[in-house]
Amino acid sequence: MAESAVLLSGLRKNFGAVRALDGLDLEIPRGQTFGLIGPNGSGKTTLIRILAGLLRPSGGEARVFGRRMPDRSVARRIGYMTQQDALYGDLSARENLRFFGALYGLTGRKAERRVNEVLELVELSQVARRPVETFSGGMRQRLSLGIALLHQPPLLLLDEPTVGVDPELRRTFWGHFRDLARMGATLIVSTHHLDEAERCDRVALVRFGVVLADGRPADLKEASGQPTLEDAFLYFADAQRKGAGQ
Amino acid sequence: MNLTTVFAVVGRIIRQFGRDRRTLALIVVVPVAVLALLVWILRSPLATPKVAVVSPDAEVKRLATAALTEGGQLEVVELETTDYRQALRDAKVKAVYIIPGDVLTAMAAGRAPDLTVAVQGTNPTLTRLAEAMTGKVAQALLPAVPRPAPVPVIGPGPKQGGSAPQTTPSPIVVPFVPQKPVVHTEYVYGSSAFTSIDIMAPAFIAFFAFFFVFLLTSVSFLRERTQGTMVRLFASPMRPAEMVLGYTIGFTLFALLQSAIVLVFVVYALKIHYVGSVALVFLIEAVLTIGGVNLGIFLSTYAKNELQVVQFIPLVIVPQAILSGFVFPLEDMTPALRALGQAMPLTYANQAMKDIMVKGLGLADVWPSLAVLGGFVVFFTILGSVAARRSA
Repeated sequence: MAESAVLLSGLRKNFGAVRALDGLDLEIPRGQTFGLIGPNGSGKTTLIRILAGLLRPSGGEARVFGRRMPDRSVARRIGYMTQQDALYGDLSARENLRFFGALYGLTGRKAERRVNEVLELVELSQVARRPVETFSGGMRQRLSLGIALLHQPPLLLLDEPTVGVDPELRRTFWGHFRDLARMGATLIVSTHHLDEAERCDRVALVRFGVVLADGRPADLKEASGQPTLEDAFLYFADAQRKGAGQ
Repeated sequence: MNLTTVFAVVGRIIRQFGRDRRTLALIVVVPVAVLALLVWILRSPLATPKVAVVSPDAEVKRLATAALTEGGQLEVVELETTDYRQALRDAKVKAVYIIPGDVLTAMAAGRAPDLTVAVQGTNPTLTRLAEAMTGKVAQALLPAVPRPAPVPVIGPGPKQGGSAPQTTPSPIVVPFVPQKPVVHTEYVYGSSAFTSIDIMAPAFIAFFAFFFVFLLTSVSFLRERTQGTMVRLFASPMRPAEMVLGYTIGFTLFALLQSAIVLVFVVYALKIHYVGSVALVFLIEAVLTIGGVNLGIFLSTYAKNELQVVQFIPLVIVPQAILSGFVFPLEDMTPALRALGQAMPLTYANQAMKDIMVKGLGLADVWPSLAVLGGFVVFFTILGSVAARRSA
């Protein structure tokens, strides 16, 4: 098998005195939907930003497709959906897609075809010419996802993609994720919806910048002896607390 | 450097601002309106200030009045009150000339005429004018000064050779006829048709280009950060330098378009006198706006929101407006002020623009200004690129 999609060893990131990531070890194989589960401030976004090449680790290393991050040469193989929808409000949906496509080398007829496909996929074809500032939250979220998968990246970093999304759209999003995984993409999805975590092939429970546990959701439940992933998370968090107390 | 990426940024900026009709209108309408207003003010005839002459001697008063009204700069009126100070306070007149009754006899005795000019003191320009006119008054009084009997002057006799016949020297009377000097003004650059606005207009064009480009760039760059697109851009394969270049090209195009419209308006509608090369004007503008874009990028990283961007205007723009020599000539300033002015990029752009548009100089003459301006631009570009990289 080829090298794993993501390999973290002893990854640390400090912001001044704050230790956002405190020695993370994790391997994410290719073709999996991997959930990063943890409360706000646990370091999920920091980890995703390091993987996206936006932050430089303070210690340890993060490898994406074998390349030590940050490395611009893997940027083309990564699709990144930020927590905040990062869109140009004064441009139309189509113009936003075209612009981001061009940054990833998508131009001309090929770009046009791909933009249409994506608009179709995220169901924005009818409003493609409207300025994005007139879009509802759900429409913006869909466009954001569309931009992330526009250049068909083998790795998708999705930072809380379903925050503020209604249940129906959330289901649609997870349908897209499943399809992408089926086509061989690796997805790293951060979330604090534990029902979403259940849909992942594997999850890592992150708290205070360290991985409490990682594995298949079923295995984590079994290892903790808890009926739900939520209980499993609390179980591991409790264990961490006790460990810190010693 | 990936040109596809650079032009994607350029295209986006053109699309965004091309659609923003209000901003587009602003960058063109404001300079045009301000220049039109200035032309209107500077070309309008000034109101003739009313002054009065106070003197017990009617002849002196008549002569002084004639001297003051000559040239049409002042209008002489009669005071309705004997208290000239009250007249000044009531703003009935702007200045009062007080000439003592014995002025002529004093002058005949060889003393300087003792003139007083009373002014309101609230308008320095008017005060200067009122003071300057006292010279004219004194000159006008000269013919009326009673003269002593003609003094015979011994003319120089021929002194060649002792054998020359001795002639009786005839007395020559030197007539005292004060002649008005005939003044010709010779222009090295421009002509008598040039007014202040013709000299100021080139600098105005440069100033507005710099100002708007600075403002638009810093706001758009700030928006990239606040709307989160910056993060997405830096997660893409795009390099910060490509982004900076895209911004530079995009906004420079807008600045040149603005300058073209303003220039056409200024030359054809306002009939501003203008010599020199248009291409060179655009070269200066382009260099200046590249500096403006990068300064904007650099400073926008120190702003948290649009209000904080606006706070840079009094910090960056206003001092340059005052000290770059387009309102107050730099060469008239004290060395310290001049040094301050010389530390500002706009100074060199103004100098170059004036050299081209007013003096009609070419690249061979303006290159020093252009070179210094270029130095500023390189400096700002480094700052801008570093700032862009850091904001990733």
